[in-house]
Amino acid sequence: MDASTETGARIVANHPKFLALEKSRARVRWGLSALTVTVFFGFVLMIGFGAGTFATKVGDGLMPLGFYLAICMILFVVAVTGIYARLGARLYGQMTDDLVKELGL
Amino acid sequence: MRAVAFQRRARGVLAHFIGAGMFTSTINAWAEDLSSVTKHTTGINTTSIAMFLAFVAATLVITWRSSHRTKSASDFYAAGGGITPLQNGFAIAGDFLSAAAFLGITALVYSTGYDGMLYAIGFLVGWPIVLFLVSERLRNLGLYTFADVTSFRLDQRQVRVFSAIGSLTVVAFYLIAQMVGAGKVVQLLFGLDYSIAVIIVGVLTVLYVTVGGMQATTWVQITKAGLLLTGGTLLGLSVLWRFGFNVDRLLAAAVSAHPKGAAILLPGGLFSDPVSAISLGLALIFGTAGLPHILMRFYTVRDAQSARKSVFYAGCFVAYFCLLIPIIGFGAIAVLMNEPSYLSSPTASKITGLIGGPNMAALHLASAMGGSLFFGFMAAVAFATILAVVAGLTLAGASAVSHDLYAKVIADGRASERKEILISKLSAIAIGVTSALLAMLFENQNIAFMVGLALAVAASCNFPVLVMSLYWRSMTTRGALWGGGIGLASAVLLVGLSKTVWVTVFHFKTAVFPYDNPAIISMPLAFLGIWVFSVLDASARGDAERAKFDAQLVRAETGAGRPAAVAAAH
Repeated sequence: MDASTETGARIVANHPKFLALEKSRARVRWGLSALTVTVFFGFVLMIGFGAGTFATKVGDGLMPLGFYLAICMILFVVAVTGIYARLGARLYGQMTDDLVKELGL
Repeated sequence: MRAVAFQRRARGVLAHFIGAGMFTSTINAWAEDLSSVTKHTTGINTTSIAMFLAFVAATLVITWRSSHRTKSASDFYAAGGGITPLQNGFAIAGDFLSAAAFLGITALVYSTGYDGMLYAIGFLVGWPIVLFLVSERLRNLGLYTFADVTSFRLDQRQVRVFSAIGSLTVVAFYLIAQMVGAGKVVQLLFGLDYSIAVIIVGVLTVLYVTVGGMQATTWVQITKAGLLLTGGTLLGLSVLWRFGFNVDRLLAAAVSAHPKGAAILLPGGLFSDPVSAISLGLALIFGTAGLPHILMRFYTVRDAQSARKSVFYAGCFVAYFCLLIPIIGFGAIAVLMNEPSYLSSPTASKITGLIGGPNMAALHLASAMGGSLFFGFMAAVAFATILAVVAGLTLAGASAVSHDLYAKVIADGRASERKEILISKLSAIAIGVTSALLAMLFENQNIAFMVGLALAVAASCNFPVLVMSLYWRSMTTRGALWGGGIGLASAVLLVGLSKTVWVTVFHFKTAVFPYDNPAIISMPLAFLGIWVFSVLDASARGDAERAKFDAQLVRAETGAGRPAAVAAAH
């Protein structure tokens, strides 16, 4: 199938397997983006509106809760990028290869 | 040991470093304080010079070797697509971890404590967005520049010209800020004259770009990223060692040394006003996904899979750096603030009175922990960082001129590859010369707004046009030009009316626009503009562009049918 022509592209774009791949990928892509933006701006707004939380003492240590929250924020970023990269490699790589082969792209 | 040359007044040294204008008022206060600092020992640190010369020699070898492998346009713009994901991860992280990031954010931790950590996090959160929304599709659709992607189904000429304007605006502001920073830092570190420092940076980077293309630029960046991460790790470890690997002991020492006391463990002014905080956050997050020199890196790897992996690696390196910076910053507080010898005078402020200003905190710390050898090493790393980032920016700017403006618009796709590369090299030289001249012109100007403006334009012009062209079927050329144009114009205008320019540069009493960062207004305006003008576009051209979305979607998702970059006969 020649996907560079308009008709060819329309056929591929409406193929059930392409639609399934596209839908699944869109869910992950937009879902994780929304999660990242929400978590970050939640964190930012918490500083604006509830800075007191950041001063909460944790155990006997000197580090207030704010430090742990900042570290969690950093680990969260690594985790979401890791999850996406893993999904991409494990799941979508194979799905894409199958699709390209099956449709002869 | 502290033979930091301090020939001229250090006014404004800090200003350009901490880009987004949030801290400008603090910075100006610093600059004022610094201007009263008297002259200090003028001398040249031989260790740092020797280490820097070793780095330059290594990069010249890299460049010379790369020149043999840089023949086709694909080699020149994209290192022939032969960079591995791990290497590219290093290079992307390197592009991002400029001297501004390393010295500037450490300075922020040194001055304010916890807020410095927050700023670093703002820098980090852009990476997931780049990964999810941009990296793979960009790699599948384009060859050399992000305009390859936006012009896939839109009008070649108009969208190319517009994207080139967006890229060049971002590159220009970023580049001037980096060059001025380079001149000031080199002046402080090596005792060289400001203009000589700027000329050295200009000559070396133009050499890397014109002789070695993307191959050399990438390897210079990888080398520097490796050095920076190694140096940062050593510095962090030495701090932890000093305090028995006990973070509480480190923080206790920092709290007792810092004039602000325990307040350095809590959020201060950075995100305290929610509207400013969101505006800065938007620019930091979405600006990253619109920086041409970062976007260009996705073309240097084999496929979309590799592009995805490289962002993951880059994100990990930047995250590691975000954990390292607070250790270094709090270490600098704990160690340097108890040592009057690091202050410009015994009575000087512990924060602003640091010799060379707070930006030198990381380097003084290196000196305190490992003597002049370590200081020399870190100073050389800081200079190397500037060189590598300036080279990446120069190449991105040169590609926008040669690939987008010349090859695709002026020559209408009929330019020979040789001619295109030649134009690119000439553009690199022109960009190098212009930015060096501008850096000399702006030596004593307050240019704090420039990095902030670069990010705001990237977030309000490049990013909306790119992401909408990738994901929104109904976008047309008209929508892209109007929306992107509105984003660009409003970002520049609002920065002009904000305190950083209106009050600081033009000396008006009060700012017309109350926030330092325009993204909260300019970014939604850009998206709105794209939407309105695309929906209203009932032209036949618009319909044809919408009809091509399926072809773009299939290629973006599968990578099938991407024209192979023409390989030269090696």
